[in-house]
Amino acid sequence: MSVGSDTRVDGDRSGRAILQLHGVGMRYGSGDEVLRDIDLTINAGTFHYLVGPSGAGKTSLLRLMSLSAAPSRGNVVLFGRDVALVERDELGRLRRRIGVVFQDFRLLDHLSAFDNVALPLRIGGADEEQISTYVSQMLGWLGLAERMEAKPAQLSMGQRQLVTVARAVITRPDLLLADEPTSNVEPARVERLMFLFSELHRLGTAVVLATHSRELIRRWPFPVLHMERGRLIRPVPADRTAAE
Amino acid sequence: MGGAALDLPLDDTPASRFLAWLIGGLVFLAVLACAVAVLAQGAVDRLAERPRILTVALPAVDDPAEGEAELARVRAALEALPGVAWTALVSQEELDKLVEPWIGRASAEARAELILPRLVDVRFQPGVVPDLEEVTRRVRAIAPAAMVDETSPSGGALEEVALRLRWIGGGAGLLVLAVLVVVVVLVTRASLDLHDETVDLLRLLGAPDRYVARQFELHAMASALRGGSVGFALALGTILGLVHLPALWGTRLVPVVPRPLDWILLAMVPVVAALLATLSARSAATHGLARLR
Repeated sequence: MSVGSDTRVDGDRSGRAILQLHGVGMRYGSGDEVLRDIDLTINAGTFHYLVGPSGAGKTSLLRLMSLSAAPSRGNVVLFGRDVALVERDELGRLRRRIGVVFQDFRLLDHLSAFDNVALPLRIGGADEEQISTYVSQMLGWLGLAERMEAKPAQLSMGQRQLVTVARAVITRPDLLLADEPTSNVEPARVERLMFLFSELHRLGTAVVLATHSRELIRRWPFPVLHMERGRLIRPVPADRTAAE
Repeated sequence: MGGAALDLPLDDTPASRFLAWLIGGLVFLAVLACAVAVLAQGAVDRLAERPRILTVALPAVDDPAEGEAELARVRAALEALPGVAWTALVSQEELDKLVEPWIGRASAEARAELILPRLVDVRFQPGVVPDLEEVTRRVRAIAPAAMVDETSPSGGALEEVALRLRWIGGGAGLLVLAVLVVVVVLVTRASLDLHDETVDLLRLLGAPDRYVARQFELHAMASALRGGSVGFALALGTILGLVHLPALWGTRLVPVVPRPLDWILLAMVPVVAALLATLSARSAATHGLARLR
């Protein structure tokens, strides 16, 4: 583990870096930098919590990692490719290897829960038979078997969050970025979600989960990345965070 | 669940919702314009198919027997030509009528003094275009001083009008289809701006430009097929009404009726419109997406 210029986090199982941020800064428009001097390496098959007070830059960092925002300085290397240099088509291929759980869900209102979850598979070109099997199994496992045809507006907040999670993990991505994925979910289902994330992690997916929940970190101990005022302070061992 | 729904809610926006209606109206106009063109072409073709007539003038000869023999040989040669329906010697009464404007109603004696050529009308089968040079060559092989001229009744002003209508109708049809392309491009651009958040999400999920462009393409195609069918059906009703209804009152508004091939050509208009709409939407969406990173 190192702190400072290169935050190489522990929990590295394969030693293969799938995401590297070098001297990254980010700002929205002409405002102040919301991320400053971020140096971070995420290796394959690792699991990290991303914690910090509101406005610390967690969501911005996740946006940067998910390629939905570009750095104003520094560079982002994803799956061995410098993101600033990749072609448009290649960018799509890189994005398909990332699953994102958005804090604001970003579900498509005119599509059913089933079709929302099926979206990444359709984009990836899976056939409808496969899609039907995978999506039904996933929604069934999350307890939404009866709600597959419901539109997002007909679902509770917790159910919407589950659909968002299902959409993010349905392709079994190499990197899962989750922004407060358990905040609206009832406790019984939080267990189920965390089991799902840790199973993905066990199968080789690198997980970065932004949360405010100390309870979550205590019950499911994994290394923690701490952010404050746009900076990545230091990786905090899970047991210490839990104790705090 | 079957993947039939588009990822973009393109039917939820006014511009996209009315696309089918706009295309329907444009297809209606395009079919009518093309109908004018094909009906005009039909009229031109019909005029071109009227039987053509050549008139052979054989100089008068002194010896009636020799003249009769020459005439028989010339007629036999003419009737042997391909496409000739029949030949007929122009009667004395018709010759008298022909010269009447110049000499007036002269007495039989006065007319007998005139040395008039013998005229033979050669009528060809409908659609056959006579080769004037070949006919002249064949006739002059028998009667070297013979003259050959075309005396077919002229299509005149009708043919001229039909030719102009053909170009006007065809041009108007193309213009309407060009307007359709512009409409689809504008609606696609507006939809792309309106759905930028959803487009952003799709791209974030890894959708390549062609996947997103296909959404617009499918929507434009479906709108064009839906609107085009209605526009075509209305245009069909209008054409049939204009062509056939006046016949019930014993009159005719349009001098020609569409042929089977004309109907096929008209039925191609909505198909071409759908194809143009699809390609235009794809092109506009692809160009619009290229601006995004």
